[in-house]
Amino acid sequence: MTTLHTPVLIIGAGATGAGVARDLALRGVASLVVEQADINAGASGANHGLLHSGCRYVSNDAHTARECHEESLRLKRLMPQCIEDTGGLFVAVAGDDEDYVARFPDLCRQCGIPVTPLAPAEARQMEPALSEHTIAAFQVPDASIDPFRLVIQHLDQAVELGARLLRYHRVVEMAPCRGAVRSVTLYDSKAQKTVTVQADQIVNAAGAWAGQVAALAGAGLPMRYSKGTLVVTHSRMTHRVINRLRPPGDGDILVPGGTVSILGTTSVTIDDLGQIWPTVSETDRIVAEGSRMVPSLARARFIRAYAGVRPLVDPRPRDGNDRQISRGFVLMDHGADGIANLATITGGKLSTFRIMARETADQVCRRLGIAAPSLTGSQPLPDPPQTAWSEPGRSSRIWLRQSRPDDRLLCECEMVSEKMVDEVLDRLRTRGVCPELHALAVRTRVGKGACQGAFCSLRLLAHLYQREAVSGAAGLGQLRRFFEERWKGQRPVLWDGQLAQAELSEALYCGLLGLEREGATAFEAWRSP
Amino acid sequence: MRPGFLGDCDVAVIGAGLAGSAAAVFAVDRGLSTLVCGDSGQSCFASGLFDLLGAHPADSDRFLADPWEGLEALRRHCPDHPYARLRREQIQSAVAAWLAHLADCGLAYRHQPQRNLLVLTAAGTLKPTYAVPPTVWPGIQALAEGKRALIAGFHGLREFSAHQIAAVAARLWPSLRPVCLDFPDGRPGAERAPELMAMAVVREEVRRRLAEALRQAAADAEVVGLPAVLGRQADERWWRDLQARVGRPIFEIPTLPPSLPGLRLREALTDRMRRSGMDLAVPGRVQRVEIQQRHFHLELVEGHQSRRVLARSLIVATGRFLGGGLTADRQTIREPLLDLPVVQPPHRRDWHRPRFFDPAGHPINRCGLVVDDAFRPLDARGRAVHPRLAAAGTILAGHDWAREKCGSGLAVASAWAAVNTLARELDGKAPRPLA
Repeated sequence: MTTLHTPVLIIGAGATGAGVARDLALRGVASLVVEQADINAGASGANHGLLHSGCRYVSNDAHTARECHEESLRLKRLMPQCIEDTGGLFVAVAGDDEDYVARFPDLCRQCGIPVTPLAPAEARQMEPALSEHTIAAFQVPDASIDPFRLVIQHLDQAVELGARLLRYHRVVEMAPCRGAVRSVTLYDSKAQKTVTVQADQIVNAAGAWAGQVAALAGAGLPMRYSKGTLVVTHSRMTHRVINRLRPPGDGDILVPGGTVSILGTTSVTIDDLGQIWPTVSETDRIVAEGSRMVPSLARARFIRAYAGVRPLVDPRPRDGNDRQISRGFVLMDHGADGIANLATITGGKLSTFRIMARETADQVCRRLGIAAPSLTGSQPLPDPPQTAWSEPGRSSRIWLRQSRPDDRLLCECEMVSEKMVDEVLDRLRTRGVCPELHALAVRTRVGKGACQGAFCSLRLLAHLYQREAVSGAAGLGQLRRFFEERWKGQRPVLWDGQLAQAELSEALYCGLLGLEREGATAFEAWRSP
Repeated sequence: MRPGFLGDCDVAVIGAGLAGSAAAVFAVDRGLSTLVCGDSGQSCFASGLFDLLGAHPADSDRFLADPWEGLEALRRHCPDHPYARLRREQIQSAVAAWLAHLADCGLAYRHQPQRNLLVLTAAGTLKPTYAVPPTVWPGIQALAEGKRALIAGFHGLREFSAHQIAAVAARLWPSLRPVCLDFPDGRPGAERAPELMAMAVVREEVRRRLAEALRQAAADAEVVGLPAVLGRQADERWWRDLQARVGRPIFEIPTLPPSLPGLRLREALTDRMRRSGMDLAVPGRVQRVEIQQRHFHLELVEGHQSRRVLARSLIVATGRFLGGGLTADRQTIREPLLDLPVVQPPHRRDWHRPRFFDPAGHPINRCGLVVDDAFRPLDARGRAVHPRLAAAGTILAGHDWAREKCGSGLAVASAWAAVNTLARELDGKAPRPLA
């Protein structure tokens, strides 16, 4: 059996895990990041992409509000490539709680967040899509953030500085022995074998799965899974982030990102982490709510829905409303569990991921006796061009600007070309990552446009075969899995134009290619004459 | 503005896809004055293969070798399937008449009467079909005999990878060898579209150099497979010429839509309609249809022009969601032209299954117009909406053409039945003189 040694094992390649890896790497501490799926697989890849100004939390969590505001200013300075500084509005419509509206500006000021009141007419001039029933509006410093680029670039720098990433490696065993976890067993689901890791320190950054990971070490971590569903529009609806000016509820934030807008969310308690997908009724609910602020949402074309799980740490019995549980993060040192070298970091939100990572890395360094301070608060995030293809609209801009006669588009909705894919492919190969369809899609925009992968995944697959990145019939399995994954998101938004798209997929994948049946048994009738 | 009057006819067919075209051709055969209106909708996605029935039951893990046996089983299991309303002889007559028409247009489709063919797709998978254009046929034979074949792709033709085809098909056709060539039209590295390549193939110089490259790459291969790029029209000339130059049988593999075998089929049909000298293929969208006692009043809009047609009978062959024959909002599926009842699952959450590749197929695929045995749409009370209103093609309820691999057969057989109904209804009833 393979045994790997590392000073720090980080479990989870979401924003937090990637943040810890980079923070440690900048202090000269090597780490091994292990992930049961691919990067951004959990909530880090299924969120609003909102860099909070903090205003959303002013009424019930002033600390979080203040923290969000200060951190958003810092991130805008240190990693501008991941952020679109759209600005935001908070708007109330007729029927909303006017008392809350009246208190809002003072609450923001108390948290140090600058807000500007706008007359409804003024707000509608800035954002013509707003409802004519808008009764109040405030301008706030919200922004949108690309969580994929964020994680890709954090890991990229960490790896550059000596960290390692193992994807599709799930932690299966983590037995404490004499007050510490000495060895961790991983299951490599691609190679179907186990790997042992010996680590001095272990960071559990598994997001919603943190409770399961902690339980392997015999540590208790009471978690509540709150599923949030979001929908993506076909085209961008507003210039700015639009928030409903009311206590947090369903369908009350619309975040623009590149060429699309994302409307969300819901908050539904679920028991099973295997059941994270958006449903038809959730989709209908958020569209109905969202269209109170932006009426055109009722007629808009949506290209997909998705769902993520907020990992909430909640010691109380299950009775209350999930929206009342703090969205602050929890860093546990597991001293009380009798484990000296395990840290769990969970809860929190994308906007404060860097703080979560810094505090975790601080604790790890203290335990390792390393005095080097965190540098993530002052060092800008590098922006190598090969790691930037997840940004919506970037590939189209570049394609249009420097269209090369020897290059060809693989994805026409998002304008991703062969050369762009090759850049990512080469980078993955030099990083030792197996370049399958999903890995490339997550790192580019392939499959995220209107056709939801119907055409481009076939083209991308053909390209991978030509580049000898796939062999045998394995590519078809990748194609089926990739399409099934996209399907989860398409199913709730299939009416009107997207329904016709789904019919086209049906005609292509089943009618023309017969991909719904696999294996030689399908053709047994032709075997014997 | 009073719409300009265009004319009257025995049969107006709305929809110029496969079902609409077949209905028009069959109606003309019956001596009915016929007018086709509307666009060809989703038929630009046709592959050019003629599927009769390739899978039944839908959730079986096998494809069907004998489509007729499958039809018998389907008739027993699925009484609501459009095929179940037709006797075997009717389907046979429809298919035979259709294939004869295609041959007449220069597209001599090949088939084996009792058995589905296995065809190699552009993804390297195999799929069953009933009849194929002549340029596809040598591949069917070569696969059945396990011949050594060269599969040649071209740099710049994005969704066609010869390496993928050879790798994926290896289990069932191990003697495939892939090669990727430069298409010899003097534009190496350029992006390729099958239609443009097909235009280049007309040039003798291109064919000569292509043949040279293929001959060199072929080595011991007995047969050569190419993406379908050998000519735009239903014309075997370029294909035959290339075969002679390469000295081996050559077969085409339909590319992703729009694929040339599909485009050739459409072009051949349009040409046939034109040649038959009828008022066929009226352009423009049908905006409105009013059913009056004796006539159907159709209002067609093309650009700023609006025109009126009077028809003594009507065939609705407008397709499904892609063709615009059905529309859906978040709550309901509707037939937008005549507001005919659409049988459908009660709620949107039941339209699709959680897994796309679920072998059972998605319930929405079986929604559509319910018809009687004469292929006349039924109203909410289960009675024919009008004695001379029929429907054909994928808009019908009860089938899952993509999963059952029955799109072409369904279109042709239902068009046949619909035309028979209207011919019967019109027979002996002298057309009312028009003012």
